[in-house]
Amino acid sequence: MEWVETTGRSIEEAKEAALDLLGVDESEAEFDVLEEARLGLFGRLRSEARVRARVRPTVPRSKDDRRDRRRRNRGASQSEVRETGADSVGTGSGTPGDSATLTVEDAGAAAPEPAAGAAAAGAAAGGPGDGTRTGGTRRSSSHQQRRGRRPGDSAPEVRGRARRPAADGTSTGAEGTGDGATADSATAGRDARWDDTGGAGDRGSGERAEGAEVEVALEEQGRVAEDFLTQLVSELGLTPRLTLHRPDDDTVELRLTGDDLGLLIGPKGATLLAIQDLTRTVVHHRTGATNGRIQVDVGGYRQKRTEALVRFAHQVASTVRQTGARTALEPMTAADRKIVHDAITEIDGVTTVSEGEEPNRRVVVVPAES
Amino acid sequence: MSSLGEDHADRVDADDDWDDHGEVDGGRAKSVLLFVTRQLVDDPGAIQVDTSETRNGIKLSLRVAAGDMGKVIGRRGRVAQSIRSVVRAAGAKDGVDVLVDIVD
Repeated sequence: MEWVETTGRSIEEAKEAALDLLGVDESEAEFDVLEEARLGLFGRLRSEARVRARVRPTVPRSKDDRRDRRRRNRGASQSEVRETGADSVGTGSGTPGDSATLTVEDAGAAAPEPAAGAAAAGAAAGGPGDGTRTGGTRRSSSHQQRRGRRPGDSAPEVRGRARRPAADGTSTGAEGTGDGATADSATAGRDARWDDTGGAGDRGSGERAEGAEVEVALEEQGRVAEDFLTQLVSELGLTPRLTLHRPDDDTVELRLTGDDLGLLIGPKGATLLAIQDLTRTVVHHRTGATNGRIQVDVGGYRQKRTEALVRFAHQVASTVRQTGARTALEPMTAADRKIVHDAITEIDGVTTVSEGEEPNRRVVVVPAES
Repeated sequence: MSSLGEDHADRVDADDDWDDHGEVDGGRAKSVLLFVTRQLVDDPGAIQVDTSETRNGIKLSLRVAAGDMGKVIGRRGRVAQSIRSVVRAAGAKDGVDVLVDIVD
């Protein structure tokens, strides 16, 4: 597993830079602080913070290998997914006032948006790219226990309320949140859906510098996630079909398909991202798992978004190559930035860097020095 | 820290009938907020959600046990932000603009 080393004005900043390079969420990475930032008189920076980071190892296989597998798998299996939520895929009216910033939508990469008026723009203002809360939110880290570590948990187990009866496992929308009933007997039938039973639960964990590594079989995590998602969409008054997939050994993907799921995607996928984050948080809270990875997809949005981003990135790259003018893109999540970085790496004559702080961190496309 | 950032989502679904049936019970948005919060905290009994009307929608004020604050806010407010997005989507389905305030 590759380590990357980054610097920043604070440890937090250095970590963000590292996450950017790795293209993963904070919960999926591990860090070593090599050096703290030292401040001189009047808070002037004397030396930068240095950290090194890597994607938290779960299996002895390289990250690149893993990513390729996922891609192949996705391309093959999602082609039949019907078009849903088109209203949201290409949503957003761009940022007309800010000509230096390009958005994916400017490039017309995604589906056309018939009513990209105030609704889309307004809703987008609350999305993950929202820049209004940089100052205040940082404080909150102080009273949040570190994610991904639960030193008290030594054994994989599921706590909390009983799971719902399994119904038939794949369909959602069954009303009622029968909290009292566990249905472990029903799990046998569900397991048949996994293409890889046995899972990662018993795999030896990678060497960790600190904290307890809690391995929970992905089947188990998938069930908790499925349970949460099923109830959530039902609370939202929706009845999509929910299926579980294993794009690779470390990942459970929960796919929602059906009609009128644009609500679950939201402006630029903001709601989908939120749902995925909450699902991961709940699974972590209920199982304590530090291994594996949960993904949520709605109507093939993930795939479409990736394709749109790649197209957009290529477009911007060729413009930058012609004009020689560096161009900043709109703020994106680490995962999206990674897609852009990767897409542009293949192109001669331009390079990319990331600038700014979360949640306003963005890719800048720079003409390569000749 | 009362409100981390604001959600000024304009009415997403211009279905102007929310005030006819919505009253100030918070409706779907409130039940989604309750559901999600219950899944995140250790002490679901301490969850309290008050609903009030705002100029163009409703405000849900969420209170949880002191020990659970971190769980509903998350690192750099990430969980709070996700809760807001999802609750807002729930409100959007009813054409209601929803603001979630986490009260400490």
